[in-house]
Amino acid sequence: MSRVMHYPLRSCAARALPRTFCSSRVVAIDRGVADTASWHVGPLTPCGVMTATCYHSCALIRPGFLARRGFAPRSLAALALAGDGRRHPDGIETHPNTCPWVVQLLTAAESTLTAPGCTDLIVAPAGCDAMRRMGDMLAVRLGDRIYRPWVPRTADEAAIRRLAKELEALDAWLERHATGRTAAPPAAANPAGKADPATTNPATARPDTVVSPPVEPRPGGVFVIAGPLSGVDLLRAIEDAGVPVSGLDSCTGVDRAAALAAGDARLTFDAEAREMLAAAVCPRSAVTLRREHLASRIADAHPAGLIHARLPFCDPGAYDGVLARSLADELELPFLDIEVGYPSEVTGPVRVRLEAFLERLTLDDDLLDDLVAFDDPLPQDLTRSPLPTDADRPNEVRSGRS
Amino acid sequence: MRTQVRALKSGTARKYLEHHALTAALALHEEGAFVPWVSYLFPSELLASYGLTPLIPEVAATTLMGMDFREEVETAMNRSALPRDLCSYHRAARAALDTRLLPAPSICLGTTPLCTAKECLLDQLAQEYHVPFISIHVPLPPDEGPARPDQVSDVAGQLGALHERIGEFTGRRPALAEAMRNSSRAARAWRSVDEGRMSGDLLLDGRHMFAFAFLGQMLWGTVAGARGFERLLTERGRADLVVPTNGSEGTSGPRPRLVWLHTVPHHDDSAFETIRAHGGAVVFEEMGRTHLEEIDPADPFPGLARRLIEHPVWGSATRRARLVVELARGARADGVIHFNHWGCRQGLGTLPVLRSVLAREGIPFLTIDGDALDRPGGGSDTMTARLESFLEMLL
Ligand code: SF4
Ligand code: SF4
Repeated sequence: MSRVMHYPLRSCAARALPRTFCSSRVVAIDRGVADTASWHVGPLTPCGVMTATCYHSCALIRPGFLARRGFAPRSLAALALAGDGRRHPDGIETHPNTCPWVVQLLTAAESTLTAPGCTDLIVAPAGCDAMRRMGDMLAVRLGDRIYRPWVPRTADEAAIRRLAKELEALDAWLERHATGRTAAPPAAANPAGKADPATTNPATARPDTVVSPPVEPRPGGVFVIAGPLSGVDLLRAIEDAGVPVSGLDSCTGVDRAAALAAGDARLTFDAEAREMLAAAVCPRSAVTLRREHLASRIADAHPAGLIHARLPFCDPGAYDGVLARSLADELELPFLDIEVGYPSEVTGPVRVRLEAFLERLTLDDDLLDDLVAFDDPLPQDLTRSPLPTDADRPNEVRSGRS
Repeated sequence: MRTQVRALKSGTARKYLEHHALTAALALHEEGAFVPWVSYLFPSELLASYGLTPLIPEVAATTLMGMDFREEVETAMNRSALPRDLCSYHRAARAALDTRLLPAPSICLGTTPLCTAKECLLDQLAQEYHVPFISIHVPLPPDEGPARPDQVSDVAGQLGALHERIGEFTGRRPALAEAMRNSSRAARAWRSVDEGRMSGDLLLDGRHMFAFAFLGQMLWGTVAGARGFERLLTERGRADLVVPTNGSEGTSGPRPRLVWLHTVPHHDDSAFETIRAHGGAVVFEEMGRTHLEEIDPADPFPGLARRLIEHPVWGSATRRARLVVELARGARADGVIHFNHWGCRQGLGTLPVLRSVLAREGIPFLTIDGDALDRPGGGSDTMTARLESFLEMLL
């Protein structure tokens, strides 16, 4: 599998530019220094700079969908990591109990998209309460330049229909904003009708925000479940302790990016919705969906332990931690729940807990011996939801007492 | 028994409602009881139709934390795997369930409003207890104007289907028209009181009115609910909800007049004492601005759907701010206070917009950090000092 590494974006050329400079240009110059070939540069915009960019917040929308009207899709996290993370003195002041990922994205979006003359757009899916409110805050500043689609937690047929309607409206919005701008080469320019590889190949798209284990994942280590991670610090700390990372499931992880990037650029809205909901299974998803997803990823990775890394003030992450713990219990895997920041850094107390946990894993010879037979079936069929289906459940009156 | 005697003796709407809500809640603990754990905004009428009482985690947690069970719940909260930065209503309800102070769910019923956090809680409980979780997807209303017809019919369809499903699941026969007639009686009374408060004829304490509506949420669609709300129409029935005049007779009433946003510190009276000590009063509460319309019993789902979509705290922060400005103007408020309930992302996330819109409109605004389930006297000195300066500024 191709490796995508995180590295800081704001290199010398970009740092010399004023903060109000159109982000697309800042980042393009930046990346030009680092790796010109991987840049996706879109069309000229009326704001007089280079690219008509459509930013997106959480990794819930397929970038290819945003590209279909000629916009260059770009993760807002790239801006956040490129910037200094400091709020403008007149900027939006969030409550201290706000998820740091939201705060960082908000700060980046505000400082960049409100720059004079900038006409870039942003799509902020209302995935959770905090992100929904981030969209509300930005809407006051950006007016119609922000779109806030609702993304369901479930992936049933009704949810797919609803999301398809949202996507249809989003597409109309993109089309409206594309009018009058010079369009990027349409998807049709790709003979196979596939999305532009610059936005769909995880090796070259958004390398600035996509995180993957620093070393090829190996069985017998730890599987990390996380919300958004800004870099590899946590994964590197695990590897540095002599324990392999067996797998990663993160909102900014390479697998999610690959899943969202895969597929045709021009699907019907229904098909697009279906693909999106299948690809973006994250802490905010319905519990049965999330459980099934995590169980299968863990089963594939054959880890010897589970780590759940949550951002503070993240509600879906908190419940995801409980789910991760229950999966660990069922699989009889050692489990560690930690809190990380965004940008993520492994702070002193977290490092101590992490090291103690990893030490326990490496010292537990029995556990390692057990892992020799990787083909052993899982203790139970964890991919099946314990929620009864209609077929399991006759129309009996159920008592609430257990 | 004690509450029953108090309810009968006082004859006030508040005591009456407390008594019936508590009685209904106790019945949920009986062997074989069907226990629907539901979202705070779940239309209780759909359950009343089958003679079912909702277990609303926020209400249940608040009730337990106001009783001798507080210690036990707090100990369980401290042991809980749920982090401390979550909404304490949910942490407390979860802890109470873990310690069997609350009965296990037979079904979990959600609504997208008001928060994702509660959807996560209900979904997870359903998973753990092997019961279904069904959630009503409620679209966000437009910033201006009423819910769109397509939104109303979408939600109405979901509510109709869910009502039927509850019947199939419980094997009970529905009596929705009767539940809706009870609901309409209560709504008529509630609206009449609201109009009286808006016109200035009635001066009711926003803190108590919040508690009344909060508990009332359990009883919409029941006869007890209808009677409880109707008691508000008599002077005797609302005797313990009136703002004490404290020598302000003959003047224009208490000053400053305040509008209270979001939830309240249920068991900690310190902020309200400070307001009273300064001669002020909370004359209106944001969360009470719902259930003001009667719903057609013959065709209830569109009305129930509209009520859900148009809840004052659902929708964008801009919409909320617009409604708050309307409320503050209508109530002739001197200032607005937002209670920053610890852990409520959707509420806290509206603050920047509220702050700027109220500033633009020239409406003084204060935010108070706290936790709705704080112990009595839990409010900080900083909070009191900030509140005092705000009140002094308004005088
Ligand atoms: S789900 Fe959690 S990490 Fe993601 S935006 Fe929401 S609060 Fe932040
Ligand atoms: S206080 Fe906020 S987070 Fe808690 S239940 Fe209410 S809306 Fe949800």
